[in-house]
Amino acid sequence: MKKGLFQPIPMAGCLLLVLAAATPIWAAPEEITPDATCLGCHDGYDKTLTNTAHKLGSAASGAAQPVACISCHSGGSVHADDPSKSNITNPATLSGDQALAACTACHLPHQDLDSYGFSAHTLQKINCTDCHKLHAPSPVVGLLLDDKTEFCGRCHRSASLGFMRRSNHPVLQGAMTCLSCHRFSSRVDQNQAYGFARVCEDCHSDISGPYRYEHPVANAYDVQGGGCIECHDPHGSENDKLLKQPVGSLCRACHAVPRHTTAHDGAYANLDCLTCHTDIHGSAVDYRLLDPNLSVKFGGSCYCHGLN
Amino acid sequence: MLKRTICLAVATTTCLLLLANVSSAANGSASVKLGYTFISDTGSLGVNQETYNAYEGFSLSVQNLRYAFTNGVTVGADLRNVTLNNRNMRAVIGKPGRFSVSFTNSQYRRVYAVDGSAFTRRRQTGFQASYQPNRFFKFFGGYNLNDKQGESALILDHTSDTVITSTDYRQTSYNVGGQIGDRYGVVRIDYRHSLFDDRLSANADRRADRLSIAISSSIPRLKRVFLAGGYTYRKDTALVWESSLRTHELWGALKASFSGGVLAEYRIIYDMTKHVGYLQETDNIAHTFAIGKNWGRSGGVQGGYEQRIADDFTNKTSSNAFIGNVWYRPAQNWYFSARISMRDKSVVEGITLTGIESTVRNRFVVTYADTSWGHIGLQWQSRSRTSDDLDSKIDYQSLSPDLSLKMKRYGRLDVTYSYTTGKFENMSTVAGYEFLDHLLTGTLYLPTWHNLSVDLGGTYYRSRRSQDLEKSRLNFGAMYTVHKEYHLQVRYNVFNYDNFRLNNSYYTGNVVEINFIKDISF
Repeated sequence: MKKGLFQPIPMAGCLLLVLAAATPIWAAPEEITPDATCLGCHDGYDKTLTNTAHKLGSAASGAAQPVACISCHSGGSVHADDPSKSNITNPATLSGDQALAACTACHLPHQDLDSYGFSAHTLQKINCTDCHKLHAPSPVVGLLLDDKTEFCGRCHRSASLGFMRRSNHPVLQGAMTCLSCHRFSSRVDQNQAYGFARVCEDCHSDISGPYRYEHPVANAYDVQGGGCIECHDPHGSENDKLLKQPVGSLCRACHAVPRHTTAHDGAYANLDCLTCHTDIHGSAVDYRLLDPNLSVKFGGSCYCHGLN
Repeated sequence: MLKRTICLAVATTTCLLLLANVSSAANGSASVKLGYTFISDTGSLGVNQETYNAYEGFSLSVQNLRYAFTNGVTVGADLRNVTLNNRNMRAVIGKPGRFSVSFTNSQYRRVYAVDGSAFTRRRQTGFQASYQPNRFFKFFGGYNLNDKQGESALILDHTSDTVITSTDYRQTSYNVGGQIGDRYGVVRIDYRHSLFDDRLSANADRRADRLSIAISSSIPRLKRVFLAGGYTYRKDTALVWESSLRTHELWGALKASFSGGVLAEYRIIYDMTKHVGYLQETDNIAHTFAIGKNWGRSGGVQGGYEQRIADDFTNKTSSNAFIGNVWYRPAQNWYFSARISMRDKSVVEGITLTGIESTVRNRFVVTYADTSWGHIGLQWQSRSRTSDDLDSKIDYQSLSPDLSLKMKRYGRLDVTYSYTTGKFENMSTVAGYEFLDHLLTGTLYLPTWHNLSVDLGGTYYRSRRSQDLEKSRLNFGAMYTVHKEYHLQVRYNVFNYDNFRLNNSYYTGNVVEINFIKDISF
């Protein structure tokens, strides 16, 4: 291992010390309030849970205790004696982290901890119930309230409007949803050296590699970052194929190409880069990512380029 | 093909009717839609996105099917356009905590040629199943097929000739795994294998194998501390050239809630990737630490730091990132949110192509909502990236106000406008690029009048500067309801696209859908 790679680990140690010193939240046993007591006033609420994993009395969903009203709404005994909104827990009105703590009494949190960057969702105003509907009048698969663009787009407006631009992923046409690409967590910026290409290749498997000759920018594992989103804007673009710039100027973000304008007396100076560099994502035969049939395309021998 | 489609449609309808007959309790519902789609268009079929996957003909859809058996088994399905080539179907049957079986099938066409003769069609079929014998164990597995055929065009400048290339491949993958755990923790093991078969060139054939192990745990009696970690091994192999990409990834994470609404997070990821054949090996490591505090649902603040190091033995880069995130709700009507993140990347050893970079992203949101009339909001975003070594710069700004008005007498109006501008200063000054986009979209939902509900809407998009494009859509919908469960629906959409720099690059399409919808309850 290279020197210096693990230097920040002491930071993790400090964090663990902080945690050890933190005041633990002990699980205080609560006096059991029978569901019948709750339903005496909140008549009919049991029916909204009948077709869900939270059916009252159910233990099949993995919980150690059968599901009861007080599983989510703690404070039942006090509330029964003095019915008031202030002395009963309603997960829908909790902050993100408080709701997370309430729900994770039975459920493990989302596997978003394995992602990279910062997770803002749990600290923002939203909580679990913003996406998961618990009291459902009809059976809801997975209790997921909605995974469509309109739902995520309320906060991520710029991304959702991107699907209306000239070139876009077919989300508004119903062919895919936000969750087709995104997990629950967020990342700090787009220049992430991990993972993005792996998301894209589920559908665009023909260009995912590995190749014998790689275009380094296409590699999410490369030392300089990179990945599909270096050139493509996945939500929408004014350019074709979701490109951030038209091909000619996009390539010139990294490549200076002075000789191209003078070679062959400038005959090919106005060609698009992809006219010759067809295997732009990677090539099995040429390190310059040139079209293996370039000589056929131009009706002559391209022996200077090693393509006869 | 037609025979198979008809069989599928008949089978779906039969299943629905059987479900309706065998059940007497009202614990399920669905909407069955039978309709016809007319399409009339002119211009280049290769330029408009919305109608790529639209087909003329009879359509049968079963939407929002939800059914619950008395033994706890639930069925859900969305089967759209079963009889057409743009079908998109999802179905799931399961019992929470016991088993789940899901099925998906969809097709998507992308047109490239002016006359529609060159297009690709992607077919995706998936199947996933899980079984949970008790609350401690869970087994799962699935199969996916991704098949794409057709002809596509490379992106070419309008001064060049269009080059058409053929596509014909199939990617199959399966996954199996298991999970052991209870409410205090879970160990999950997942193996995935995929095989890519290019029918046109064996050079592209490859396989991928991935094994991942993940552990999540909450600490007993310290219920607000979550620990997680895992290991992933992945190997991608090009079968003909014996070129492979191998990745070992280790990660760990901790999330802790403290009293007073304080939340702390830490993550570490170590990733080692080796490209055999391309002779490259890269080590990446990233640490992220964030701490925040919430004041109930009235506000919160978060600050964080991230460090990334990437090393390929010759070159080494390091980056430091900071994030600030704050939201505030002073009253029930108002909501403010602001977020700033910045990253500076430096080259520690060697020389890299992109070199030193700095990235800044900001976002600000303000919303005022009133339950009596709707809401009004404004969102501003900016992104910039400067590469000193490349002498290139990207500057992106977006401003999006939106308005939603609802009045019992006049219905509801949703309007959103977006102004976006971007400037790319590339290596060569003559090859810079700028865009300026205006996007206006809105829908008016009129109040229901004598069982007739009507909506009118449209989207207008204009891109200026280096591009000169215009794109618009107008939509009109009406639905007449009889006896609460029978609906006659008419939808009319007009699409228009113009590229003012290319005379022959335009499109106008009229799509009319007439549907008969029956809501059914089981």
